[in-house]
Amino acid sequence: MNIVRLSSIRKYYRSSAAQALDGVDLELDSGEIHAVVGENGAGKSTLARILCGFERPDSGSLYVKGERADFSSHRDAERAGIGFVPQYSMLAPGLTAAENVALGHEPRRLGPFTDRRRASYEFSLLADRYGFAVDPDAVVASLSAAERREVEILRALARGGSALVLDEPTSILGEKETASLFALVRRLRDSGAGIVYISHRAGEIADLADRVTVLRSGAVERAFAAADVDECELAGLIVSGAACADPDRTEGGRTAGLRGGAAPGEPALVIRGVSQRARGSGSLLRVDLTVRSGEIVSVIALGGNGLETLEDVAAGIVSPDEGDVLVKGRPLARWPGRELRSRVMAYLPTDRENRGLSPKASVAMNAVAGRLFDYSFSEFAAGARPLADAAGMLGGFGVANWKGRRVDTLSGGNRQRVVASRELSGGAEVVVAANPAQGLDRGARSRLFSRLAAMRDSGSAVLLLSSDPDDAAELADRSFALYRGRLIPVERGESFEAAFSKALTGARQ
Amino acid sequence: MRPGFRTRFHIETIHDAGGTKAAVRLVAALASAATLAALAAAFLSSEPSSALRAFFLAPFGTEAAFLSTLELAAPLAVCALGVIVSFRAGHYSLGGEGQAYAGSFAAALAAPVLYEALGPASVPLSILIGASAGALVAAPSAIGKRLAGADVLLTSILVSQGVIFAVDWAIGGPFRDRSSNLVAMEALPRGALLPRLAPPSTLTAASIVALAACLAAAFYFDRTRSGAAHDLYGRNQRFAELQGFDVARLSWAPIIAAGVLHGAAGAMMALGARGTAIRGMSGGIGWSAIGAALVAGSRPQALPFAAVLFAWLDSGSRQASILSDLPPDAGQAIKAVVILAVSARPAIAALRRRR
Repeated sequence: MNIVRLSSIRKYYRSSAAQALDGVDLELDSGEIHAVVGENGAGKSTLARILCGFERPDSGSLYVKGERADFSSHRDAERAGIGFVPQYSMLAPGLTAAENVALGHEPRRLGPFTDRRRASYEFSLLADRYGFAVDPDAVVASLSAAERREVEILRALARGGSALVLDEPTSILGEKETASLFALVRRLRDSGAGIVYISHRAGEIADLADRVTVLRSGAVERAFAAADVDECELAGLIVSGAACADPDRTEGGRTAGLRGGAAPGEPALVIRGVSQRARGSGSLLRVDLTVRSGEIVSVIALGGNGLETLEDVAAGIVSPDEGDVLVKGRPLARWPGRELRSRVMAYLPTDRENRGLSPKASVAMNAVAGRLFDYSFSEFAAGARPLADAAGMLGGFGVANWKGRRVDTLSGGNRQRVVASRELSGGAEVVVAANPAQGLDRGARSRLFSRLAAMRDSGSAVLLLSSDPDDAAELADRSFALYRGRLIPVERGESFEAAFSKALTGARQ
Repeated sequence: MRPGFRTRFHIETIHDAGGTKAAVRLVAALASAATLAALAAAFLSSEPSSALRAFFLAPFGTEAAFLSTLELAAPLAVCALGVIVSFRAGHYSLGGEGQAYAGSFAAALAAPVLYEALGPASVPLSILIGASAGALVAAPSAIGKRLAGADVLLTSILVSQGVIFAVDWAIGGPFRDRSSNLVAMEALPRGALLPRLAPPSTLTAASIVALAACLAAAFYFDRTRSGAAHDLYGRNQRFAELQGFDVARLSWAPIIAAGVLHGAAGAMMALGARGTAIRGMSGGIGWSAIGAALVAGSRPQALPFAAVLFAWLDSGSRQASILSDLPPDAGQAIKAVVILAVSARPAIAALRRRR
């Protein structure tokens, strides 16, 4: 049975002069997972926003259970039974998990007062029903990215029901959280819900979806049953021109060509005896880690094991409670800010919206922000050189149509490309890359990893922090798992995956 | 335009294309102000035609009236520039009124002494002293922000209110000119005032200073590295820090710079048409400056137009209240609605996007 049908949906953004959707048709049946896939900027998120009432189409029709629907807000979509899990957190950081889920539908007590205990109780029931373990009274700002994603999902489930739209839900989840999410999505499907699953990860789609619609430049390129194609073919459809059979792939399915062969040089980033207290299980306990020039060291962790804290410490966002962080032999805190950030350390943060970008500034300004003071007064005033530099950097990562645009008009993947183009263009000696492939399609991910490998080959020390073991397997020369704040070395043995899964669950301790 | 001129002399911009929106905001503000003024004259006055004539024509009816309206706009533009400097760094300082008042008082206090010593060369020094007084009033907020991360919105308004009470007391008490019915300091010697450019109008060199300040600020924000860093800091402090900008300096310097501009604006009022410091003379300028900055979309190049619009509303409503029975507060009410109308544009744009 058809739950939702979109017919000839068109959407044009005047601010970016972009035809985001151009006559898109989509059907979602009950009890199916319908994947919407495509490159960064293909229109996937716009389609999701229209389906969920955040935006209105310029033309076209939307039908819910056969009835014509016209959503003027997301609340209308929720009333029609459509829940939404956004790509970026839309939670109120100062409220608790339970308050976020209840927001706008708060249980009342004595008239106007919110019944917080009841909200908390209802949250617990919902979380228990779907197998989540988030503390209802935890303030969202203190939750890990994975926990926040769980709260987003619970919020969507609390309102929606018959249809759920998931916009790149695994971009910041680790393996374990991803597996739980997949199990949940399958349970929902089996209970009769329809799921729109937006992603550009071929493996996920092949594993999960029943039907696939491929978007390219805002139009439907192809729609087919997922069983009709294999993962490799699917990857080629998501990114046009992507090679189906990758000659570099090893038997284990990993790209081996990006690993370095040369011996690493001097220690460039040293984390020595670092302990850092953090909320929940995010603390670090006497972490020792050295990254030498010319090597990529990865640290992989599931959510809540201290990866975000390690990112903060390694990037100099916080000073550790105990221990030192040395960059090129000098304590991180003693580096002059401008020199450190513009020449010595490149940093790709997990939280790209708050740390990696100034969303309301232009794309070009974001691209050259790190080298602003390298320009002379007259060069910057004339504008030509910064613009040419921005063009070079952005072009290297495939960001097009950026002139005169603000960053917040770009798609999520293109925003990540802007961060990568700025941070990886200056030949930094130390790179801290935290979940650098989040939101990137296969082509952009491969370009990013090639760039990281090239920097390593030219002598940079790269610390890769990721929730995705595939990143480490593909790129790293040495790897560690972070489990409950302690580093566990991962040996390259007979089975990389097995070593990782043991380390990530603490089985090697 | 000669062929090739554009190619050779075209200056490219690294900013987004949002600048055109400032013109739209100005037109929207002007249209809503004119409509509201007409409605106010029609419904609040028993002599609508006199009120309309007074509101629309009196401020521009003669050359002298037009130039006097420009003079009224000059300190407002400088004050609004202070608002832009502070707001674009993400510091929501609401202390403009007290800073301007302190500037007026300090300039009126220093001008006679300096004039006696230096003659006409005292004028820029008097303005400098006014600007310094504004900076001094802004300093507690700046220091609080830098050292303790104190909320500038609260500290600036608290300090400003204290200063307003103190200056009120000083002008009405020990420094009052007892020979005048006005609660004011002694009238300044003519040579200690800003030179008049086109008598009999009140237009002084303040208008040129204000225009130059707006253009310089536009250049600073659009074409300098420090201006770009200032803006990026205001939009996302963590991002600015991670790009290696001097965030310690940006946490206090724009607050002091805004104080300097507010103080200078106060000094211009005292050394301009008023000719001395009068009790309550800066009343409402802080609010009007925030309104003008909003109407200009925080773009300094649009500020002269926004300031003239607000000066017209002040002058027009005053004239209409004298020449007809329009309530004297009509101008303030219209200003409030214009600010609301202009501030509501993002919400309207968001609604239009949805459609």
